[in-house]
Amino acid sequence: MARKIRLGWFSFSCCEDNTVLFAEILNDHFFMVQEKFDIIHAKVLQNVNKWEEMDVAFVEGAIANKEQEETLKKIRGLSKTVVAIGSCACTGMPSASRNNFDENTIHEIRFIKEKFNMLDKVHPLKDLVKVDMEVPGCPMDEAKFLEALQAIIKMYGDQ
Amino acid sequence: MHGAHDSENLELGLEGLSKVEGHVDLEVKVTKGKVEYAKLKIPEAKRFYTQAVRGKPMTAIAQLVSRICGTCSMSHIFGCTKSIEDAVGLVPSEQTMKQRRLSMWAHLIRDHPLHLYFFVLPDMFDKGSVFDFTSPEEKKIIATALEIKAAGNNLSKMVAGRSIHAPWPVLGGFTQIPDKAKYPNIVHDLEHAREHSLELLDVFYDCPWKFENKTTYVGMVGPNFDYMSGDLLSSDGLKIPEKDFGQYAQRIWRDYSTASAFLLQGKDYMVGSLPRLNLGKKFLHKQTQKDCAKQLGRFPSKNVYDNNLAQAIETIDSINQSIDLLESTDFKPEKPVQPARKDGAGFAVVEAPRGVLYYNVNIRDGKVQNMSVAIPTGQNQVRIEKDLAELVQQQVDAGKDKDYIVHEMEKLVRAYDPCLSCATHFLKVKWKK
Repeated sequence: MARKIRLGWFSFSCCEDNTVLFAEILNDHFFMVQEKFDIIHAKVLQNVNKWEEMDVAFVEGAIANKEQEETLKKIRGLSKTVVAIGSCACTGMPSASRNNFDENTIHEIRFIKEKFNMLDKVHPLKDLVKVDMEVPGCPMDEAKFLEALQAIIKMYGDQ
Repeated sequence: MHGAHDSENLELGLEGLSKVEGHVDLEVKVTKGKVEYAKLKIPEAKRFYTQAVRGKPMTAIAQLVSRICGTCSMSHIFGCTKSIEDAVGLVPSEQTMKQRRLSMWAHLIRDHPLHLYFFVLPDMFDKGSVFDFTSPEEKKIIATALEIKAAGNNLSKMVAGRSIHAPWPVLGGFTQIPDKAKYPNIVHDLEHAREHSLELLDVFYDCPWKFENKTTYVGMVGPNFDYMSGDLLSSDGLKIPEKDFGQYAQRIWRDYSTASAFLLQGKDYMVGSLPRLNLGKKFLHKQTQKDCAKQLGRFPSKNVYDNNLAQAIETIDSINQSIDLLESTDFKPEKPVQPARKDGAGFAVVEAPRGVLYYNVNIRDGKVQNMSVAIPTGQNQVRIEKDLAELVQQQVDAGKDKDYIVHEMEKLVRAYDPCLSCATHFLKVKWKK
């Protein structure tokens, strides 16, 4: 039997629509995922989550504070392939709406930004780390995600 | 194992509660055997949607606020739309109301099972995740659960174009109607889903978990059980007009959380499935009342874990309602109703799967001037914290060890089906430094 592919699933600033869509994709693909993947880290799905080497990390959401930036870099360091999923991870928007606020609104939200150590601007993943694949869409494009998943199975499934 | 002595002084911290939607940390401090505090900390970075909508055309913002939450997107679309329609004097057609009802039921049929089978079931079977269900019998349960979820997802696609960030609903109507050619398959799948949901119902009815609390239950209930209409009631006997909800509910600020918490007339309260059934089980579909008579006998209930049973019953009810409506309705192409005016203030309450969702919007010259929102998890926050403090006190008194207590805390918070993606975006932004 081929070894299981080590998968991580991570969410940063976003509405987690890609996670919800993944849960819907599992309606048809649950047993394939269960058979082929070893879920190393996916807080939304399991209570034992490890910080270990992964073949693939699927990452949704934009990066809005320092802690998220550090966690993203940690994920990059542990993962052979990083896949940005959904619009916020790929482009920053719509989570990056505040990047375009006028001066008054920026002043209005300044206290919160400071109190919670938010970065000056909200970033897509590729601003901060190397991203190997992107699945755009809001939520991510279902067909393109399945293509990416198949590509990952080809890359790591037969090793 | 640790004995009672070790839990005399405890600082329990749980970073990143698993199997919930979004990020939340728990923190409890116990000194000399007494719980000092329990905190539900929501550390996510706000995305400032209430600021981002300002100045945008009223016709465009439902699609933007949908992005507040991938889990509850349908509730945000209809909550926001209902408030704008209230503001500009727009009354949608009866057909639109039917299509909205179907959309909300479809939302329930996919969202409740996600919580029940992916988040709750692993705890009941003492497993870390749904992926640990590996024996043939266990796999059969999962296959059944997936079929139920799929029926809701496919119904969403047929009535709203997609289950997440549905593209068809607009101000005053829909851009497309359901394709009648798809009814037979959808109804067939819903009938199967009903059968499966009834098979799994007693898993939640027989669940021995118990944690009773003293709180006020609040929910909007009424005929059709459609999560969009009816009266907003409280178990204290209040009947709250939608436009006055903002005066009854006070927003409070926790310095450890980026989300607002709420009190109702100064007291903690609970929203969600359990309150809805406590207040309005008589409005459920006749078929539901018949098929779930035994389980409905449990309500009104004070056991927080009966929120899971209530969700299982609401799933069945949404299936019954949907089948009934599909079998009795021919949708015909119609244009969305146009607003009577371009200015006004609007108020709306809808029931998201996890409880009361309130929108208040001001429109000027067809554009959003400002908007405020109260989301369900924020409204449950104060009660959850009190529950946690009481739970930990009970467990410390009973001499339970730290790992056991942490697991019980997680289970309890999960019973509220919190949605943190929603919760992180509505902090009141003006406060004194």
